[in-house]
Amino acid sequence: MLLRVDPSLPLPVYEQIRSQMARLSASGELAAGTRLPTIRQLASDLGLAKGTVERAYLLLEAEGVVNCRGRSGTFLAARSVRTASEPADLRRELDEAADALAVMARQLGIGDDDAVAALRRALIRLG
Amino acid sequence: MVIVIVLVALLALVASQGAPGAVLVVAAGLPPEHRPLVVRFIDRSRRFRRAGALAAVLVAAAMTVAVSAERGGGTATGPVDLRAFAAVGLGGSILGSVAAETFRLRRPRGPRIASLAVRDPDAYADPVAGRRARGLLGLSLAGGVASVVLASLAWRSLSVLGATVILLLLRRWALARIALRGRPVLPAHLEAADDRVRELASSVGLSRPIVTLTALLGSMQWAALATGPDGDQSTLHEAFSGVAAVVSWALFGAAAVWWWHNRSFGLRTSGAGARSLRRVGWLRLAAALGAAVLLALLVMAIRRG
Repeated sequence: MLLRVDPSLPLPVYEQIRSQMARLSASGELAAGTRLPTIRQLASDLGLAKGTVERAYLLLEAEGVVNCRGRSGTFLAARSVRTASEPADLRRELDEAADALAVMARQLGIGDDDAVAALRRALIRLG
Repeated sequence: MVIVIVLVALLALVASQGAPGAVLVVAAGLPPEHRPLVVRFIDRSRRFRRAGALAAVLVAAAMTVAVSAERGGGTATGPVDLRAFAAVGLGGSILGSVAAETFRLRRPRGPRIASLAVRDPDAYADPVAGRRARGLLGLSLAGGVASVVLASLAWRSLSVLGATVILLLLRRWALARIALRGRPVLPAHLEAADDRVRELASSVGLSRPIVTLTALLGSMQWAALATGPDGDQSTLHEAFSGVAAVVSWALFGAAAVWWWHNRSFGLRTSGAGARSLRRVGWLRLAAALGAAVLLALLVMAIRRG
């Protein structure tokens, strides 16, 4: 399984790592309990600062996508549909993600139809 | 005197160099797709080791000359601890090895890809070197305890013990660093070649030289225990000194054998051209021994005036 980042894109690199790992987890491409590379290994393989990868891992842990078990390593958490105490919270998070997608599409000069089509394809991939 | 030692040490260093990397990998029967990478590793590692050893020996010689001249008010003609010089040379070569392994790959400008496969920091650990390291640490600890019990040069013995612990920690750090060093996504055959190079770098590049130096330091520690402080004629020390001398020589012998085997990066030469390679190896050994004999004769001649 490969991870791809591009520092020249407008999306921050830590966000690129976070979103790809979250997608790999949600789609089941990476099974729950899979051990992830250490921050040091991933940072050196991608030629990034350790803090960048650490930030992505911290966000993933806060979202419940991964479990950090100290010296044992970081493992993918069991796949689960997230529930929030308030439906308004879920909607707000979804709007933020949609905003990020819209900003990215504008910055890359991609048309609205193509952006929506990309979102549809992503939803289909997730099943 | 020191200058003579340095010259002979340089001669021995050059004479004891193993076969060229390109010849070695063919004689060792490595798969053709591994050879270019392994040859580059061997040549680079040797260059760094040689530079480190030479720099260390020259600095140590210069310091010895300076200190002797200051104490004696003239040229340095006193006895020189050859084991200490060998340890300095080996230490310099290890620092060279560490420098050779702590490079960073240039960061690409465009997109970057990494595998999510986990690499174990101990993936390339050398179990043989690990066992030797534990044994040597035990011996060094025993030497430290003995020196305290006998009140015999305790500070020297404990400082060797400290150096041993530092060396073994350096070994752990370097092994993890080599295992987790950045690796681009590679085809399977190149990944296998990269694994082989990391394995060589971990074992014969660092682990084994560090263990060899630990043995050499242990030999110095036990030699000091065998000699004891001036004027110490206690029965306990007399009984102990024989054992200490045997341990010291055994450690020195082990260090010499390990150092000699490490010249060929642990590659077993059984492929094409192995016989002529061994012949050249024996000739080089003879040259190194000749250099050592010459050194001994020079020392004797200078002492007799």
